Amino acid sequence: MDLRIDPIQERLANAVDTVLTRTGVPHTELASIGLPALSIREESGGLGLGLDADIMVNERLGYGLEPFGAYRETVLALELVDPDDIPDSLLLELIKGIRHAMTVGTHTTPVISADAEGRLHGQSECLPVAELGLLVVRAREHDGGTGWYLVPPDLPGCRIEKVRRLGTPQLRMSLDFAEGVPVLIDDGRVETALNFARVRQAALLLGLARRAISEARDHVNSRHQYEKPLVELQTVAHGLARLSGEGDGWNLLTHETGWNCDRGRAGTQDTALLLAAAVEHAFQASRKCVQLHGVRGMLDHSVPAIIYRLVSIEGLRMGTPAELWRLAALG
Amino acid sequence: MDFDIPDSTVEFEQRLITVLSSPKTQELLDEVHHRADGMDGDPRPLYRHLGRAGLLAPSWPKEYGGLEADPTATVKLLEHMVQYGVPQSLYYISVQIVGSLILQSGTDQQRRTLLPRLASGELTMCILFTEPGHGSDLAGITTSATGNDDGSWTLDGRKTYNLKTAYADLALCAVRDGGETNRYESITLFLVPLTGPGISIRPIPSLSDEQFHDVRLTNVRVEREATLGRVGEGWGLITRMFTAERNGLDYYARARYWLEQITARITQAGREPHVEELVGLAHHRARLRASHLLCYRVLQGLSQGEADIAQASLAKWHCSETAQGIAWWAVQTWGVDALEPGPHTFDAAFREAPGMTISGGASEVLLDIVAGARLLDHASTGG
Repeated sequence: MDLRIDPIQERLANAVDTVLTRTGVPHTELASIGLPALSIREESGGLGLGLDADIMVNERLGYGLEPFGAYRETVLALELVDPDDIPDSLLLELIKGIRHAMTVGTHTTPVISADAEGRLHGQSECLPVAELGLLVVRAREHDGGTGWYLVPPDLPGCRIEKVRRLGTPQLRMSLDFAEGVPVLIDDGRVETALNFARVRQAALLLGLARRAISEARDHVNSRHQYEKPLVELQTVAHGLARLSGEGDGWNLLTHETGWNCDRGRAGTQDTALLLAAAVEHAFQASRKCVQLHGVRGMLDHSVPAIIYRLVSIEGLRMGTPAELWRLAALG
Repeated sequence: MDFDIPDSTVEFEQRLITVLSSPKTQELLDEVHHRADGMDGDPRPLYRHLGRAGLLAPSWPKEYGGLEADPTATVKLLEHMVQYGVPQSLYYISVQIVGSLILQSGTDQQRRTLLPRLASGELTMCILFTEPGHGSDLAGITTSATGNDDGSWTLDGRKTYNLKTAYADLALCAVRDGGETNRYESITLFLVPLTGPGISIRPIPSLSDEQFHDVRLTNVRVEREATLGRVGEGWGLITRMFTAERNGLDYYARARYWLEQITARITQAGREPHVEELVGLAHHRARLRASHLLCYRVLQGLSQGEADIAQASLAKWHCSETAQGIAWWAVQTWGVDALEPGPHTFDAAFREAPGMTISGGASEVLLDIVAGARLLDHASTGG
């Protein structure tokens, strides 16, 4: 066992940090260092660096407050769908990060219905903002089962709506008897893809949590009350020390789970358990950050408020903590 | 990163299991648990048996009785010791804490004479740091060492709340040496034989199965060679020792075993587990896995000569709270049934639990160290 970050992981993290300091469009800037290609499997045309690399990327995206959900959704979509089912030109655009793929009904109970002719109707859950190239929809079918459909966003009957959740821009897809293309995706493939997706999401959330702790740390060193910095109050210092320590543990667990996923040794219970822990930790860290900033943390554009919103959105994207713990317990 | 266990550790684990499951080990275990001496139960014959098999100091150099193994072997050793019911406290103090300090900071003579005997189980050691007025604040100790004309020293004072003293041959004792007025620069460590004149040891019953001891040192004469490290440099060695002591490994090993016991109880044949129980198990399983990794991070650092007191403090804090939480949860989930005698009883664990976040560094002290290292403006953000 060796728990040190290896040089490739280090370089990748530094590259993400550098890109996030640039002023261009984040999606384009991230594409310039190989996102999402490096996370996409080789059989789909990506580099397939595995979760070793993904964890570093997502942790730094979280720390940089650029969740870039479209990247993780694209990778998930391409892990679910056989590349032969996607037109070559679109596949290339997805790999290069020019357009993005989204899954609908994958992380939640399916909300889209398919009629007997396979036409889709209903409204999707909130999706990350992106230049959409493909929707991979899991729909409730007329016989009570579920099925998978590919939906190009420009399909007749398909409408994209811009919405906000907690002040954060999101997309919502309305389908009005749109004729999607049915595809077969076996349960094993779905399970594997979701396991990988949970690890990436956990890494993102732990990056957000680490940023929350870092912001809180800076504040409690500079903010003086009762003639001393807040950090000298034991209630303040111990609360943050606990969060910092817990974060270390969850971070190592993320790497271990990722290592096991890459080698086919981790299952649904392992990844659900990891994500549940990461979500709860991120919630705690973001709330502590606002609390320690006092009223300043409640200001709309303050960093604590931004972290609070992002953690809430990203922390619930793949299910509530209660649902995830149940999945971790029961599989 | 790499999470695979090396083949050498897999082989070590197989050999360990073979010895631990042997009839001879079982016979010696029965003797310990019988507690014929009316105290904790003397594990020394059992340790000698394990020591003869070369199992007690896997990470040490071969010349001192070790195997030069990867730290994963030490983790496996503790996991299995707890699983097989081998009392690990005296071993842990002797080999993993004091022995490791001697390995790092002892003289050649001390390493040659003491380490092979510790590794073989022939010698056991305890720690005499705490005093009636000084627990967490060790720099305030008052037990004194007075230098004699022939180079020997005379020790006087009282140490208390020490574990395993009654079964130890030697004690690592921290004393005030009468030197510098700075309270951190006038502490010296001595290796004190506990069988000599002037030493009285009185057991003090505790809430857990392990008793404490009250030790009085009255005109105890020790030779010049009994110092560990230089005179006046004890504080630095204590800090170094804390890094070895506070890796959380023994707490993690108990937490792991207790969780296995709960799992067995929840899933025993003919019983339908409640969803709440399974969800509770998942919570504890997650934290236990994180504890394991935090603990291993410290062990890996130590094996590479990169001791980090903040990471060590964090690991001990995390592992002890994990173990404590599991013990309390077991009893709160099953009620008093969990305290009934039987194969999965939590009676001893429940009584031991409160002390886990007190001994070996109270959680409050450990969090202070983590906060000092990570949260103050001059510190890094950790991780």
